[in-house]
Amino acid sequence: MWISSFKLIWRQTKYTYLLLLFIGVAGSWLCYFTYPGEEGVRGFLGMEDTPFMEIFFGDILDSLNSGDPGLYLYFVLLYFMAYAAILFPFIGLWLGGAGISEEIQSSMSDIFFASPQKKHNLLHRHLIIHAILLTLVVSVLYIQIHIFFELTGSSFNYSRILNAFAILWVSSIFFFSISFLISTLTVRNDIGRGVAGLVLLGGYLIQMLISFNPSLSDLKYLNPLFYTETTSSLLLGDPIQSEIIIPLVISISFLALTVIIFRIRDPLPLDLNIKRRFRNKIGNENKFKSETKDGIIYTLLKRISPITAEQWAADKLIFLIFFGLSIFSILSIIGGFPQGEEGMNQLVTLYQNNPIAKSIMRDHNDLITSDSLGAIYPQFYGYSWIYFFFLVIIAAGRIITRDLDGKTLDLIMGCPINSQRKIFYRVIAIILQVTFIAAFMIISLIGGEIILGIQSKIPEQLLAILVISFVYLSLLTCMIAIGIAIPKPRFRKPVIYGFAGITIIFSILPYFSKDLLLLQYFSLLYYLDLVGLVAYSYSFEYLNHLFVLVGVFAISVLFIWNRSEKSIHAW
Amino acid sequence: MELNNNFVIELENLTKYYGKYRGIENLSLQIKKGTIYGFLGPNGAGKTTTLRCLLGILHPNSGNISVFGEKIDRWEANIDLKEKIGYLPGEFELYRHFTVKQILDYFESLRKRPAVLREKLITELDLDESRSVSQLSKGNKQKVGLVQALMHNPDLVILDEPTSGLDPLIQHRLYLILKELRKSGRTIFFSSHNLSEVQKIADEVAIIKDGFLVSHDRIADLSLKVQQKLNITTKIPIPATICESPLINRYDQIYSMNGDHRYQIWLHRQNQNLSKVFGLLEEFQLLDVALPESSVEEYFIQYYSENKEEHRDVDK
Repeated sequence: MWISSFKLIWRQTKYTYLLLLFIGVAGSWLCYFTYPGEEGVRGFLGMEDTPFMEIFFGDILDSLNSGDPGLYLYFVLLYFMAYAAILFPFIGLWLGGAGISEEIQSSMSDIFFASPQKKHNLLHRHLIIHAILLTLVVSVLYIQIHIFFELTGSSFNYSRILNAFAILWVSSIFFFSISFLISTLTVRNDIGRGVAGLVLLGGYLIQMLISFNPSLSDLKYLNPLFYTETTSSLLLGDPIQSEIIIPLVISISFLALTVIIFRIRDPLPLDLNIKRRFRNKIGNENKFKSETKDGIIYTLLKRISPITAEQWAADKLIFLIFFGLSIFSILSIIGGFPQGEEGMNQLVTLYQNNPIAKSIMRDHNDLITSDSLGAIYPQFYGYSWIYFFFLVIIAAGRIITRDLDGKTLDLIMGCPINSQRKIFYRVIAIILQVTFIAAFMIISLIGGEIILGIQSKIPEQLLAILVISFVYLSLLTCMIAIGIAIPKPRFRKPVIYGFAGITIIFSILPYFSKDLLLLQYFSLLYYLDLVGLVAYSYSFEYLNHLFVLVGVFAISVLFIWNRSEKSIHAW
Repeated sequence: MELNNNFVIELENLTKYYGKYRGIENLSLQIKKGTIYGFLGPNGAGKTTTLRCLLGILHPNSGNISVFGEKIDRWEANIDLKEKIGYLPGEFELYRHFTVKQILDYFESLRKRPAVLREKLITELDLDESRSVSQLSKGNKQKVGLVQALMHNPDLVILDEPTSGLDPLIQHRLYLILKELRKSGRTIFFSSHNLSEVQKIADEVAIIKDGFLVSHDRIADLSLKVQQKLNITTKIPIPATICESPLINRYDQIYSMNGDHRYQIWLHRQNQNLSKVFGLLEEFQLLDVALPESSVEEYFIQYYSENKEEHRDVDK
């Protein structure tokens, strides 16, 4: 049975583990390619006082200024303290939500319960197999990092890296246990993942709060990330701190609690499990009445079109996630704003040496030195496209395949409304979503700038945010057109994701080598020079860029319009 | 509860609430060894709740369950009994990442009992083991569910709407398989809202409505309980006042043409004395009388179109 179970769980979650492996391996090589040299690392270390840096690195950087600012230090700072410190808890909470709730939702658990297996075996199986798979992935990453250091000729401290991975393993198990408990309790994996995600986000917010106001430092004991930080072990060579026992004990308790709850209660959503509480008061009602109410926006959208309202409701969660990311982005940019001339210079050093940063800056490095505002613009407008870009990919993928995946295609095609209208009304919903995000960004960014005492160039920023929205729309329609052009529905998503990957790579590669300059013209992101747009105001160069975007948008819309008339599968 | 070894399943006053909502209430059933027992009811009546409580998937609020003569307080303590049970859930999704073969291997691995009927069922239900689950139609997924439920030749087969999504040919083959299992002494308990299939294959039937068991009978006895119906043709039209008679429940006029008046008349279930009815109708000059055969379907519709309380009284 174990082999079958192992096969089953591996098949269910193999893409998550392979993605974890890929991101883990890619991350180390990203560190190598973005290594800004000793000078750049010194610049990086010099930004220690910004609250954003303190979120990930805490006070540890103080003691390292005199240390060796080589690849090892850069790797440890970037890979373990920022990259993997986010990746491992996230993978933990994702996997925790993937197990039992999906089995119950699909009624596969019923067949298991009807077989001669003890009920809690279903849980044990998931727990043990995930722990084994996670350990395997960590081992592979450890070996890979060993090889990475051998190949790059850098020094490698086996025991420190091993300690760091052990801590990260505990971190992922901790978030796994929260997500596992909540999703088993509610039979909803999104709720489990959401709660664990809030705990993770709460941890970062506590770190940020403390960095703004050090008198709140006692709050750090409430932060799970405090107990699983790898800094002292990696940089100072300290053994694993005894505090690690706290998240470990909490994880074991949560897992034990999950097993107990799972054994004694029915595999039903939480509200249906509250036994008999209202039974006598209400009086034996048999019908399950819906008590949910439509939201205000949903109700208003229904008046425009039910299709728009449905699209709004379908993407609500994704929209909320990106809304949350925007808040986090704004907070972190304001928190990371370098104070004074020295901080600004260190940021310039970092930007001038790091190819990724260069690709975001578009070689507008003189901008930073000319005006202190230059620091906030490239960071905010440079990075914001990452969120939007992923929002575009997800939204495009969903618009194309949602009805096929959810098997609602036939239902929709049976209604007396043509395909063009459906796309049109769905795109309206997405435009509204992005308008909401853009409006929020305008309000919070300008609010943040008022707090920081910088209020110039607000009109340019408004324009830039509007351009983001338009670029978003161009990308979205372009991806929908590409998706529709693919005849086989199952290849649509991979092609869209592949296109997205090429777009990113083509926009970054030229900053590694000038020989590849031509490639950037094939990436829509090249036409998204928001840093230049904000910093130098509106100019003819950006007008050209806008023409390209308008052209892409128009061609895509015409293509979608034309194709959706011909085939129902275009939808 | 006094246990009887002749019964494979005994449910006594089983009650299950979902929070404030009633699933089933005071449901009692006894299913004999070697029978096919149909469990009829409309959507949301409590059929699946009963089956899930029986298997310990849901914990009943009260009541007793016994399976194979053993009282079940906790299924964990009687887990080996499940070796003898095969179960098909009502609505289910299969693991998408598997092929049919792999998913059947998986379910086979959950039991010690060998899957002796696997090949036979695959052939009879016309299932392709090499296909990926993600490519299966609803009917083919149902076939996979049926094979996993029956392949270890269980002593007790519990099927929740087994013919859902199956074409008539495969439905027919399934009926043959179930009848064959009954011949070899297996017990089959299946829920359905397909009345004709219950009539075709079941030996006994229970009807559930709004969580209450409203009737349980042998199929052969059912027609006796059905309201007697008459198709008559008279020369003189029948007035509506005839329903005031204690013999006649209601009537419908089918047509009235060239002095012929055709009616369908339902008699009161408590008072089905035909000679008295003919006496009553004689004054309208009877031209033709027919007594159509009553089916389970009529019995079922009758129950569901009438007041629940009335039926409980009738059953008493």
